[in-house]
Amino acid sequence: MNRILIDNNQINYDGENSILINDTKEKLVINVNKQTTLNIFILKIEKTIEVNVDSFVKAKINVIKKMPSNKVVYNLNENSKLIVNKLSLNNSDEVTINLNKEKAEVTYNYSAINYEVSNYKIDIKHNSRNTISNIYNHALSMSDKKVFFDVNGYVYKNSSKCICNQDNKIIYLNENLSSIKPNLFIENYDVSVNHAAYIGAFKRKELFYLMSRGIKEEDCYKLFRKSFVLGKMILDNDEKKVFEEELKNMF
Amino acid sequence: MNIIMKELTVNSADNKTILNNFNLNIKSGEIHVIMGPNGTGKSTLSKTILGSSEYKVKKGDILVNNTSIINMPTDERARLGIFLANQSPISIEGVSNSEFLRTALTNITGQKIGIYQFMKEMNSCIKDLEMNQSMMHRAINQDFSGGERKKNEILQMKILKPKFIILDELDSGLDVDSLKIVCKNINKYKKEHQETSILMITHYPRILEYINPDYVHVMINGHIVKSGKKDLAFEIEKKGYEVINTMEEASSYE
Repeated sequence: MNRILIDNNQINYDGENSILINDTKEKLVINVNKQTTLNIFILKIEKTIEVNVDSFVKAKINVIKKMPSNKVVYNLNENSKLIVNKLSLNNSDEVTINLNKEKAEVTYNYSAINYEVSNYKIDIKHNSRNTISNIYNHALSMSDKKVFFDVNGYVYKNSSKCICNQDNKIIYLNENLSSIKPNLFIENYDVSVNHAAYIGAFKRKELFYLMSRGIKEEDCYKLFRKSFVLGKMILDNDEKKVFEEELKNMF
Repeated sequence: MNIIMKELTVNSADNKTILNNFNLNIKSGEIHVIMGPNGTGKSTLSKTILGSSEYKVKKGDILVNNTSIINMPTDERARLGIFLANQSPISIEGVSNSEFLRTALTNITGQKIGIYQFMKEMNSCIKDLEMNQSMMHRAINQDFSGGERKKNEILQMKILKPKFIILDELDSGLDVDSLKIVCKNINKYKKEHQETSILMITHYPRILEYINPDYVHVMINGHIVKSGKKDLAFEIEKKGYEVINTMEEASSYE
């Protein structure tokens, strides 16, 4: 198990040699060179984080972040597979995922709890053919403050046979002017792409179903919140417990 | 559980009257069946009993053991012991069956349910219904077939132990073998909880081969127009609802 704690721009790493860290003044570079799971807890960082996944490496990165805005860049090489599960609070990250070489594949599960105005931007760049991206962006807007998603999938002219999927949802507890731009910029005909966007409240029919089994309204909302935030994430039991505990502290 | 629906008039959100002066008295332990053509208000009735916000009660009352529930929210009604097995159970992404049912049980009993005891009971109920054990960890009805969804409703019934059960078109979407399994479980439950009352809504008397009702009612235009015994259901199947017009005036089942 690899664990990185980032607080006040200081890096504290505890783990094996599947990760190489290069911490400079401008950016924190994490090189993943063997199959691994990496847990990152971010309390405060201002510089860019760059994650490079080597060829033929499968990696899972679980990120819990409690401070606003920084840049994150993921670079995936040939035949690498990356799963990112990210839970964040009041976050306005700018994320770039570069699928640089053939058969690179990313599954990106992002969930945010927002009490403040938030601008989240993610660019997914299919820089090579036969690359796959599955992007799930979920935000729970807890106040009347606006949440904005700018989600851009790029498939370039020479990147044939790519799969580029994005699914975006913002659930608000108080109606507000949150918005989503689910953009796809496709320059190749031989690709499979999907995008979806939903903004709204939890569904009344689902609330009725749970309440009709005797569950109090407040407990129904607890179940909804948890399922919405953690539902898409790919976590083992221990990881799930950690995320659930962190989530409790975010409400 | 005694249920009295008295002069119930219910409108939809767009102010169309669906239930029109509806009266029904279900005594403790009785099994009643409601049949009727499409769009006559059968499913509205079931959701109104549970207090769905889709409908507005304009007039009348629902009494449970002589206490009005008309102003109670849905969860309170359910905690009294009213249970609706839905005609088309919805799926809820991300909420697992086991977590949902454990939360419901905790709400109903007011006690934290031990995980071991809960899993043991859930496993046993899953086995009774010949369902796949993995379903307890799956999200509510997510990727379930129509039949699995119906079985899941009965699984919830077995675990939550209600005192008044509404079965809304239980037989739709169930194959013959699954229908037998589901009805066997309902009969077993009824035998173990004799005070439990049941209201079955159905289009076909096939289910009455497995669950024996005390009364059969025909509902047309939002109220009951005819009541009788089991034979009434088979007569309607044979001759259609037109037969009601040729019958004597609505007879009382009381």
